[in-house]
Amino acid sequence: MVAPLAILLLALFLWPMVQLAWIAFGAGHFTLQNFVDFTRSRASVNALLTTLRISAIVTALALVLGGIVAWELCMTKASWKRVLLWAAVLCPLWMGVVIKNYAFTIILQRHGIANDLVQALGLSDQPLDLLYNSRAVTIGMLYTMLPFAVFPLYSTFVGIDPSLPLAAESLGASRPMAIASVFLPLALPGFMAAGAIVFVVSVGFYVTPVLLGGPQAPFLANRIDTYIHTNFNVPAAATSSVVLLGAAIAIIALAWRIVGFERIRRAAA
Amino acid sequence: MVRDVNSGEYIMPALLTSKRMLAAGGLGAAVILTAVVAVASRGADAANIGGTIVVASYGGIDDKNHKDLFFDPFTKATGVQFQLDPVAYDQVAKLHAQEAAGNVQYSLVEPARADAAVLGEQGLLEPLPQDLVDKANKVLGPGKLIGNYAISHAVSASSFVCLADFKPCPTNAKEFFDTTNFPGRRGMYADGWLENIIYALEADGVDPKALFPLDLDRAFKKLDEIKPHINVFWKTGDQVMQIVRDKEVDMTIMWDGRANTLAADGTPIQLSDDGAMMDSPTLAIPKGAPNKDAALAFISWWIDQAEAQGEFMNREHYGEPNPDAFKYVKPEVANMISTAPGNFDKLVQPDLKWVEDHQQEAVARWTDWLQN
Repeated sequence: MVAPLAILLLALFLWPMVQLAWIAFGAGHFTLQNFVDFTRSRASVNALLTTLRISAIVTALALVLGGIVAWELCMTKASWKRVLLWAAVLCPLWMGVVIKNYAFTIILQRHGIANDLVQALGLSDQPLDLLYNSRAVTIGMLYTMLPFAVFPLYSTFVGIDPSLPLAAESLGASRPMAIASVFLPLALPGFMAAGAIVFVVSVGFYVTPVLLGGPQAPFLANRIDTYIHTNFNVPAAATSSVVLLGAAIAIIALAWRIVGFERIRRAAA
Repeated sequence: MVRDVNSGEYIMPALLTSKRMLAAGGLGAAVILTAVVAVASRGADAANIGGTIVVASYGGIDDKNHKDLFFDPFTKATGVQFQLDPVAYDQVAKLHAQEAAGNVQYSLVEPARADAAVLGEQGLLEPLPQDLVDKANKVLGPGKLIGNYAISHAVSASSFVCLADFKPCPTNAKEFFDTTNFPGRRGMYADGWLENIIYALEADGVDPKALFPLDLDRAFKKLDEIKPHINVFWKTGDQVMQIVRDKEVDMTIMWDGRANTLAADGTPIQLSDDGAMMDSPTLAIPKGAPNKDAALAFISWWIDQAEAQGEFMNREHYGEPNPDAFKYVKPEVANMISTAPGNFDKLVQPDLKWVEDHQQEAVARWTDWLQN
């Protein structure tokens, strides 16, 4: 059963990646020129930095908010609350990506719901620019990515024996102390898994940056699209793809390494 | 989406249609077949008509209008089926990819004028046969052909548009770029590299009749000035209609057809196409296209459809090439059309030869400028 799956993955996933790298490195005449060109293009470098920066912010926010939601899902005894929370987590997952983004366009536009509310409350005397900037992209992405943080965190949290933090409290720790020193270290693998999933999916975002951010501050995925569909420059597109993949892998590896050391240190202490 | 036009799925309906026609045995079928052969005007035998034409189209309402006015009637007359792949401007990249893979899937493509010129130069388009070129020149008049590869239709102007109650509304490039005397929120087409370079030069004082060869350095210097004042770089026709309707911007450069559709749908606007760039999609056949003869027969048939082209103008407000089509355009629509007498003289027609030679460089500079 494993062999056909492996062959399928090799043929449909790994082989195209090899081809991409092949094109990026000069398609047979080995050269790093494409990568030099990439670093010389301010638009490409900016797109890479925008992608990594917003993805990191979205990941951090998703872990905090997702952690709160997952905690409440585990701990609450009120079933209505649990139903409501699950519905809130699952709805964005079931909605189409274009629908989600257009909904945010309607909410955030100059004469949209959010601005009407701001005006009605008298917080500003003219409409705020909520749409077509990186803040709108962050909000839209966070909404999409939140379920991806909640699921791994929830499954980690339910696996932690609730009597452990209680035991810490009975031994004199305050509630925050018990959570920080007993619960969080146990939940750390869940946070790492959730963070990795959210970050890796985030760096590949394409639709949300276009619809909510506008084309001036693109993600690298949009830059790749421009290279293919507007500039007809396949080597530059392949190079950007390899850079994006490399950057994402490097950051994940680094994060895992740091946490790995940290856990070893804790274990030794 | 990959579609195999050679699969039986698409050939079968056409076969069934012609069988049914023959089975009917009526004079009608013979008349229709003869008519088709005559329309094809190249002695193509009846066996070559039928099958499916895969069209790289623009989607949405435009697909519906094409289907109603051109594709369905042609299917009725000939049995040729149409399959629309709404890839819009991505069709150029797709055509490149299909060509590289040695598997061209489109029988009919609609590249914009500049793209058609470049594609023709690169050898990706089938030259139209001489008799069709002659017919196009005779029926449509001069200036409708791009080389001998493509026929332009649905002509638009990238106009200067404001909501009806907005003052002062810029009426040309110079005023649109003048943020001091014409304050307000602005929109610009994110992929409109050629028109925006042209407008920057017009705003900087270049005579609209002496724009080419375009001075890119001068244009981008002027564009740098306006960039902080552009609130929305829009990507699609639907989006620009939405940002005007929702007052996300006060003024924008947009296609006149879309602007006039806004007005027709209840959002009154002000529009000026003074010095505006004319553009249009074209009809062309890719080199190595499947079912080429059916596509040629369609183009030849379409050239003569003055009434349907007139109705197309009523619906989309874009200028169609057959001069007789204006007979069928409603009077209140006629002066909205950019190709109407009096309007067309105000437009700038890009020098396609310059575009052929400089498109790659100019587009790369534009996307770097936009995305930085």
